[in-house]
Amino acid sequence: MRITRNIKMADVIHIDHWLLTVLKRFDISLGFGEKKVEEVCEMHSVDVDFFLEIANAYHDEHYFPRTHLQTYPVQLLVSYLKSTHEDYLTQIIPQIEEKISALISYYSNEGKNMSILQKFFLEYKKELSIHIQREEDRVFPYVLEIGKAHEALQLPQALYEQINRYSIHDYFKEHDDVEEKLYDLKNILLKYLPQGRISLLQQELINALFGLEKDLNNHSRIEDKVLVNKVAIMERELLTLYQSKL
Amino acid sequence: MSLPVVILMAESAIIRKGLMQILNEFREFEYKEADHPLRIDQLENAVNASLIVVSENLFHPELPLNQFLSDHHDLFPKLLILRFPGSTEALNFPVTTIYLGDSEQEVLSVCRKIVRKNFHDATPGENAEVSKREREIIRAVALGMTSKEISDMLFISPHTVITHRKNINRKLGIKTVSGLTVYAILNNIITTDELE
Repeated sequence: MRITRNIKMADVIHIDHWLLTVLKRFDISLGFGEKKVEEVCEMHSVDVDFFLEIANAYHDEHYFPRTHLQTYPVQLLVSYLKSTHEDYLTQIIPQIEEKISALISYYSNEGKNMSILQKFFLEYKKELSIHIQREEDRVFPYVLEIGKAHEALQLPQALYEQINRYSIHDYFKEHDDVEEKLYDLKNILLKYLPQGRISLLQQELINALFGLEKDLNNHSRIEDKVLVNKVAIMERELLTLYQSKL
Repeated sequence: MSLPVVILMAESAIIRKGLMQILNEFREFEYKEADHPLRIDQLENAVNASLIVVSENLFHPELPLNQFLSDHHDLFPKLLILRFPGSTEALNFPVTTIYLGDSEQEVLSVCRKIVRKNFHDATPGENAEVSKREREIIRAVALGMTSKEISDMLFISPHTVITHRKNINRKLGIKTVSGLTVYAILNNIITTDELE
């Protein structure tokens, strides 16, 4: 179901409660009462078109950006993606780490050494941080530069060469095995831990990993569909502009 | 974990989505949709598809269905032609058909038969435990050996090592080297001391 500006914000969460994560990243607080999406956005000074774009891309895996919603500046998108990254590094990952530590001490009370799980998760965390760092250091500055040039209707020579050499599509072609490690960890927990009743802790940990996986997938969909699409349009327009000035 | 592919060629979105809805009762699929009669080689995965549903109203006198069929003999085992009430054109080929008015159960049972013929879930051995040779290879991988080193140690070809590794990844659902290391320790294939 498509989320629109006239739906009550509370109903949006009834449609898909995972969208709470998105609200959090927009700094929107609970207690919406009967307010509609556009009213809540206005209260929190959030661009409603931009909010709808993100909420729909997050919620619907077949979502494709509409051109009429493309009016928001790309800086908004970059700062949203950055707050997502921060959420991973400062909240979601540390919480999972804590649960893994707790699980390991649970096993060690039973005389089983499971510290290898912690080591594995640390490796995963390191890879994820590198992945995030690369985007923040290399991709986002490029995107912001394109945004600036697009706003000024001026394509500097250096940026012109950059677009031709390495465009936004190239940035997102590179891949790593961050996703594979998470997949492995889920299987290890589900299939290869010592047998026994499922504890609340295990249940929470597995829920958290499935939640993280889903969120990461939604996050990369926003990057692939919304960000790449928007930047590619700006790149094309800038190139046309450049050619017309020759 | 790969899903059977279903190709739905029908002009009407209602028909395509309706078929998906019915097929979802049966199992999970990967769908490819087209709203015009594509040449099969334009459709990715046509070779791997387990079921190709083609709506007859995509065809007309300049583009006859029988011509399409005579060009695609190789697809007959996976082809299902959707016929419309009142359609009179006789089909010159022995292909499976359903009618738009068929019940959900009929549609499902025809589709199920075709998919079962063309898609085999588990490659043999998928559900089996890892073999003795595979354990040896897991151990070597966990200790940090490359496929080349393993092939030298076990006197088997590098190609064989790679096949074993693929089978291991599939059986265990573990794809990375560090994941295999965790598995190896939890299953006493290596000890933590050996890793130092």
